Amino acid sequence: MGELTFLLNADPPDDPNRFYSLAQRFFTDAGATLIAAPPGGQTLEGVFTTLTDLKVARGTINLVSHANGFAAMECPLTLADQIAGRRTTTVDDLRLARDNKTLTPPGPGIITSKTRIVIYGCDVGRSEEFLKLLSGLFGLPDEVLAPRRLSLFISDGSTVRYRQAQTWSLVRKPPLIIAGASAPPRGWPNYRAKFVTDARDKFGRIATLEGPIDPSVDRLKKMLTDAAQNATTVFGRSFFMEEGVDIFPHGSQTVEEAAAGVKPRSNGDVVKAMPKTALELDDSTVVTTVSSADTYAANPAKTKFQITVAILAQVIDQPVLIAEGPNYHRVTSSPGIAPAADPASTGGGGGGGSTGGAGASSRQIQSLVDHLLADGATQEEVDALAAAIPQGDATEGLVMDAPDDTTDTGEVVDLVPPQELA
Amino acid sequence: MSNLLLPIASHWKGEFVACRFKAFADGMPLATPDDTHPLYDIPKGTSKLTVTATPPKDSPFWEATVTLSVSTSGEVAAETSSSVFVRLKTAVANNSRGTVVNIKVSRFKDATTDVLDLLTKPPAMRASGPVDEAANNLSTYGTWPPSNWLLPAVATARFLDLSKMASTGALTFREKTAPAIDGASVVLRLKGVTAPQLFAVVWPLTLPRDPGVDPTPFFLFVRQGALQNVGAGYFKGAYPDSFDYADLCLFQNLHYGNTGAPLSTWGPKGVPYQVAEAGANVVTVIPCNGVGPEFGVLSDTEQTGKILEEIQAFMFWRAAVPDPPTSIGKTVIAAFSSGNDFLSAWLANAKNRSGSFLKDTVRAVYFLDPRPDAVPGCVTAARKWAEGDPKKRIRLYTHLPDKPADRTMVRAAHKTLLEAQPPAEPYFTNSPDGHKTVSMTRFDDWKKVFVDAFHQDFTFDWQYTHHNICAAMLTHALAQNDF
Repeated sequence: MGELTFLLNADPPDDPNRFYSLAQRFFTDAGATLIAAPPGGQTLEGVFTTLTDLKVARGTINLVSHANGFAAMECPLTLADQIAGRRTTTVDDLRLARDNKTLTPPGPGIITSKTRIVIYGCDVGRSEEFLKLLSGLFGLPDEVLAPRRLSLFISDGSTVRYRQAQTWSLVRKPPLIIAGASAPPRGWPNYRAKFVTDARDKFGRIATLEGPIDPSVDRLKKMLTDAAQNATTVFGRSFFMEEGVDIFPHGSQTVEEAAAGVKPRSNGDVVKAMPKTALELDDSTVVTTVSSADTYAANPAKTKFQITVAILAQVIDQPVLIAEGPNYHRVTSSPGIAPAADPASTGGGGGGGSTGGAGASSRQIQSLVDHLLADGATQEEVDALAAAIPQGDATEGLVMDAPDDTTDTGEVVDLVPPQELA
Repeated sequence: MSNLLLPIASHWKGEFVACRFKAFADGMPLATPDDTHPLYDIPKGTSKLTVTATPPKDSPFWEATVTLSVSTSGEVAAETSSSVFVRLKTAVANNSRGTVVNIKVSRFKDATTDVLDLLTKPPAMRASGPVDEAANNLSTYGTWPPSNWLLPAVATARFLDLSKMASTGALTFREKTAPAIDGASVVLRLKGVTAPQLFAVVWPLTLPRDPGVDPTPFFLFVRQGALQNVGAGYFKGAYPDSFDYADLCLFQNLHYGNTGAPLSTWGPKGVPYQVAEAGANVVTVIPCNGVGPEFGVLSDTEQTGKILEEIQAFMFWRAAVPDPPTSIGKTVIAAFSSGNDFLSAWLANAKNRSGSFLKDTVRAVYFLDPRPDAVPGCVTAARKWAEGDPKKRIRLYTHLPDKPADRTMVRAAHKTLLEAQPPAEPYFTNSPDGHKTVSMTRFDDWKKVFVDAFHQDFTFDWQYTHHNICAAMLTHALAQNDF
């Protein structure tokens, strides 16, 4: 079964970011079956309906969508949401959809234990809850994978490549570029210098395993300076871009009240692993949190409020590994590889002195495999490693106990002769 | 560069064994949040790793430790002493490598030293009063306690003279030196079972443990029940780690006495010496039964097959061969005295008979002097087991009972097995196809043998005949090319 790819939107005619157009070429070249977004954009409901209508069990389903680390995808949940003006689905929307059973999953005949949902977008893999909720709404496919970093498609003329970028985000008011301008109000050099200084302060506060940053060898600052030195809003090896967080009123709220009520939210889960070096200090290791204090009126009439995050991006010109690792985050419903709710219940049965064992637990195996894949090991090599893992249960079929045997009840046979006769 | 190590355990067939793991890098413990499923990051500069796999307490597998070396470039390799007990598989990425360390654990471990030590601690009392078992065994074996578990040469052993017996029909022996049994002689401890917990294993050099060899043929010897001797003050110690189990269940069945064995007395059975004398190229296994459970899990003969497979694997590993044959070869089970009650019960069990071990692996059964009233049951069970399989063999050796009714009953059973009228006693008669043997010897036959051999008065009772049917006639059965 070939891959089925949904383009969840299309590039606006005047948008220099040709994300969807390039994605279309990328997946067409790869031989995937493409389903373009309907006019006005796709919805999650529309994806489900399409899958249901196709009536075929699915292997890999690709969802191509702009997204962001604030756990949002450019794809409203339902057609009704879309009509109401929503452009995105957030983690809150997914939670509500789950609780209210808003969506009907495609069903077990279509989403199976072998189905893999892969998101091609930006940063949304930094929210594990988003992925878990999405997995639940789809009907628990085997795995859902989403990028931890900004992701983009790059064309060298003849070939489109899928790449990711190292990014640094800063909350900014007002926006980077005022509508209609080609550069920030005070020019690119000033903007870059200010961005680098602010980013250096923000990301440099985080401790790394190699200790505090040595001011004389400030690798973080050098990295930021190098990335920013030629960056503009034109897509290239490095560039600036903006992400907007839209503020929507609920119920009888005014837009201003909604803006004032924005609770703190971050562009990713709390990062628990300490970065090894200053070169790892970026959005994947340091989250950006926004709140009501970061909102501003997007128009003079104050009918729209938003939060703007400015991002400096540096393309990592390496193939993207779609497996658990630095590039992608993965959640799974497979019993063999999902983290157990209760460690003692995990296969292997080693805990608690149990003799049972339904086979090797895969948590560590999966971690090892994902780590190696993410670090460039070949699939063949990793497959061979996984094949070395013993399966089954060696205790199966073994009997350890038996009742006392009283068969031996006959005439007593001596064990040794009387010694005087020996 | 990270160097990840994932330990896991399996048994000889490769199936998963749940364990807890401990790892040390150059003596320093490696941390893991979950020692049942660890993924260690080997510190840079490590040169030696030890990894211990500890199955749960009630697991049927023993703990195992392997030692690994780590090169300066991070390559993990098994040290020579561990190479047979571990499989390594490594995948290398750009800046990291991962190695799966599959530690092979066994249901057996070597208990030879433990059992030798038990032989130094005899009880001082029996039901009849104080005893000096060390002195008695010194008299029987010439050396006591033994310093090792080897099977030395026996200078003046007496074995059946099979060719003369065939021509004369008389019970005849010849004296010769029984050569030392070269090879491995060990006691293995089986984990987790009620019984048998100890197994004596004799693996002759004539059966090489090389890669790719044929499955190993086994000879399983089932001694008499232990319960019957408790009243006389035997088997009062803990099972299996006490003198009587080490001496009477294991040592006595492996060895012959020091002079004129086995005819000079009775007791020692010299099973491996008889195997060698008969030219049977086979591994001898003697399980140690215990009061109460007796032969325990062996009552399920599928378990017996699994245990013999596990012994084969363990012994191949001892010989530094990582991959044992995947099955065992032809197997023969012999039982002595009330051991025949167990053997006939195992054969009579329909579930056992439907299992692959009794059906496909066990080629022959030998009944060595069952009680007269047990003989018909042995014949019935064995015939049922062999029904429809022309390859199966049954051999029955009995003494002529004193009571006329018993004689009639036993002879009738012999006739049933032979499917012909047996000749007058003494006899050692095979069926025309050689697949069945019946033998009946008389007390007077054995008395004559003793007097002819030693020119002394014969003062033994019926037990001389009974024990020596096992200690000597087994050679006849083993010489029938059943393996």
